[in-house]
Amino acid sequence: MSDPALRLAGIEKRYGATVAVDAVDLEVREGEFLTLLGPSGCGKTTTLGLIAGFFAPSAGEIFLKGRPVAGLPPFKRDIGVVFQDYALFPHMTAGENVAFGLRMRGLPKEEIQTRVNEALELVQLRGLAHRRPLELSGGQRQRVALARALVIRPAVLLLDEPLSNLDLKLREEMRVEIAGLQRRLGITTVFVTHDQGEALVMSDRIAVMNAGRIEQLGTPADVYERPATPFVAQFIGRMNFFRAGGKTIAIRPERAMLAREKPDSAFARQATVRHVLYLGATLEYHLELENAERGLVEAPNHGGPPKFQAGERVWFSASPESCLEM
Amino acid sequence: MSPWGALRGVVIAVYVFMLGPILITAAVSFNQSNRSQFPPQGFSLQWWQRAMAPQWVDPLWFSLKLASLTAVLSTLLALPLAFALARYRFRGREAMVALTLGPLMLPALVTGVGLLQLFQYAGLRDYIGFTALLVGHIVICLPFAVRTVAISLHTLPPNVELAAASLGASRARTLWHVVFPLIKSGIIAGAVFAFVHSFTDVNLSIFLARPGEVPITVKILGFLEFGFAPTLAAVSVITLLLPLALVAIVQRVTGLGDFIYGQRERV
Amino acid sequence: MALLLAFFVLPNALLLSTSFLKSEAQQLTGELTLENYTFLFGRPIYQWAFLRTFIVGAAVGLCTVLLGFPLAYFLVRTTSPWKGVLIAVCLAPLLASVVVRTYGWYIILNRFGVANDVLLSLGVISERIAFMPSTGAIIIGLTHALLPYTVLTIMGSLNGINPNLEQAAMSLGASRTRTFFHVVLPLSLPGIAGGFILAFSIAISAYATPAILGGPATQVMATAIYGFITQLLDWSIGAALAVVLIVSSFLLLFAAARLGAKQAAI
Repeated sequence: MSDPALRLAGIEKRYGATVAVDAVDLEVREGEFLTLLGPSGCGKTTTLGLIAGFFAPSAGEIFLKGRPVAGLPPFKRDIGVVFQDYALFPHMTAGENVAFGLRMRGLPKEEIQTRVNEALELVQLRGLAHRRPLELSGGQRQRVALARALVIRPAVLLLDEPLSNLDLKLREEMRVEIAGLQRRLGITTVFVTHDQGEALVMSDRIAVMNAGRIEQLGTPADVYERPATPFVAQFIGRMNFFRAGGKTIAIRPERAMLAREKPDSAFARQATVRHVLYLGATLEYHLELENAERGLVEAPNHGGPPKFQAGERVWFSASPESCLEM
Repeated sequence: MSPWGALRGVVIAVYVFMLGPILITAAVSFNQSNRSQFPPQGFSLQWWQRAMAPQWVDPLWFSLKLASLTAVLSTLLALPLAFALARYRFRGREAMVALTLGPLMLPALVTGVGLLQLFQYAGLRDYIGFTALLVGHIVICLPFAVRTVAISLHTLPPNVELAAASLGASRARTLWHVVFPLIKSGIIAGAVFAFVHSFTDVNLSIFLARPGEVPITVKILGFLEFGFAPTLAAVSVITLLLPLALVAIVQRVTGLGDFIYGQRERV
Repeated sequence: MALLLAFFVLPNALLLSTSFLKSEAQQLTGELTLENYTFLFGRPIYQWAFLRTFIVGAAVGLCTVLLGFPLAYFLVRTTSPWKGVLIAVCLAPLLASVVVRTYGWYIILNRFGVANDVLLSLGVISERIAFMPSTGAIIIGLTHALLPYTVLTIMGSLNGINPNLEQAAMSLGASRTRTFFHVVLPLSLPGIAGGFILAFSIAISAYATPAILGGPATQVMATAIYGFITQLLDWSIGAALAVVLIVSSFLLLFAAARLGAKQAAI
């Protein structure tokens, strides 16, 4: 079997007494889109910086295509990085920004020109080559940053929360566009985000990180349907947790059901509706169970008044396959 | 009257206070008589003609040379210093900051006295004059240059250097292609501040000048002992216009204004 | 760095040591003594020079704040299209040497100067009066010279005040005046203190203005130092005076730091 595009072996990064990245092992396959997902401060951006070579790990080794890169400065690593704030060179035009990496590689002028044009076309920015970053919109800057990182055809593309500075609509568009572009070019990509929606939509695999460690590594369906730890369960999507006979049962709010009569179900609890939230596409029932446990049920909105009212006594239940034992 | 209107009145009065003496100096330099009559009587360029005599042009030229050389040299020295202080955390950094900013804290007058003594007692008596002045001016102008360059380094957009590195640019090429173009206006501003500070200095220069090697400010000061002379008014106006013209030109080419706030805590 | 050590630290260290050496017949001797300091602090003429220096410094600090605050407040809050020009005009005097700017006051204040001319022709006075040499003239001249620094410092702190705070205060029922005294003024105090001390510390070491607008009867520390070094050639006492000046400046800087004025930083 050939070497993975990128391999982290026992990577650790300490700052004094604090451990930012703690014994991370990870393999990224050729052409794969892998997301590092976690809350801020979980070590995902630090991990990205270690791969890029912006700082050295305290322990462990990183391999790019099987080659150890310890001691290699970023400019010898053959990586492309898109930064959260894009980090475009403000004194250069969009075209010059994209050309920068090619110039550093000493390519002939004509080839640089052709490749810059191709790259700008790829991100749909043809005709804006002469604009400076200040004259571009947020979305356009994002595309320039993407083109600049792609044009050098790096072994690995690193994306550091590239969508977090865009407004909601644009963000959702760019998710699909970047993921599509990545599949088309077949470029190995590591994507860092705290947004579970982005991670689920875009990734081949997701590494959920918490406190410097990878809690779970798997496909989007894996981490959503079969969360390995309570942290993963409540970080991706929402989750109800109940104590049942010394065990913890986890149930997704959209898989739970409400009824007035006691249902014939493996898991059923009596509860009181505290309040009902109207969210447009869905309704949320916030419940209080006995011994002060809380419950949440998400139901599709079929129009008309909510089926259950605040203060009503109801039964909360879920099918066996919806009950996850943690 | 509204509070804002009253404030406006106060502000106008303060502007009159600030600009009045300068405007009166200019007006008096065109007087016909050799008295400081105001409003001026008649119109004459005779004092301006006299201001063009070597007695005044030489020290002006001397000050220009001194200030230009001071600006260039202190900026060249400031670049590595500012880089080291703005970028790296090392042992003795605090001491280095204190030493660099020291000349801002200590009265230039005292530095002038100390330098005079040093040159006299170290057997460098012959270097009093241009060389001593140059050394002294570099010492007192260096903090301006260092701080302005350091400010522009601090205001560099984050991550652009990492971006350049990720695109294959070595440290040296990152400096040349990314950092320098972005701090260029800071470097120029630092040089201009150094020039102006040197050109207008008097506290240090009075101790280090020697006959024939006298900055214009010291020359004017010495001449004042003889009382009023309209020629001095004309010379003053010239001395005032030179740095003003320089700053106006540089302001057109690059933005100096951004750096003025950075200079504000000069104590 | 070596340059600073050689030409900044060394000369100042040299001065400090000289101030403890005895000087005879305009020559330094190797004898250690405190005589230079006892001489300075013992003579009324120098006691007066010290006192005058600090009175001038404090008065200049106060005047620049009184004149500078309204100007700074106006410049920060005005919406006039001329704002940029007004700020530039306010700062432009910094480009002129103190000598040149003080010379303007010399033209105005001297016995045959503009002020006398105008007052005579208006009939306010019947004969010429001497506005200078005097301590008052020195204070006026230095206030004029240092005003832009204070304005800049105060503008800095006013710029840091969120304008919404004033709106918040007014929405809570405070009048314009009360908003000013309860919100704007307290928040700009660091700038005011900083501006005051900045002007104070530059004023006590200023030479040109006291030399032009003052005289033998209105000596301050800076003119006294110049006299000892260049005319009396008494290095010991000149050095001792310089050390007193340095110590005073540092005490002021220390006070500034205690008051929370922004530290110079790189």
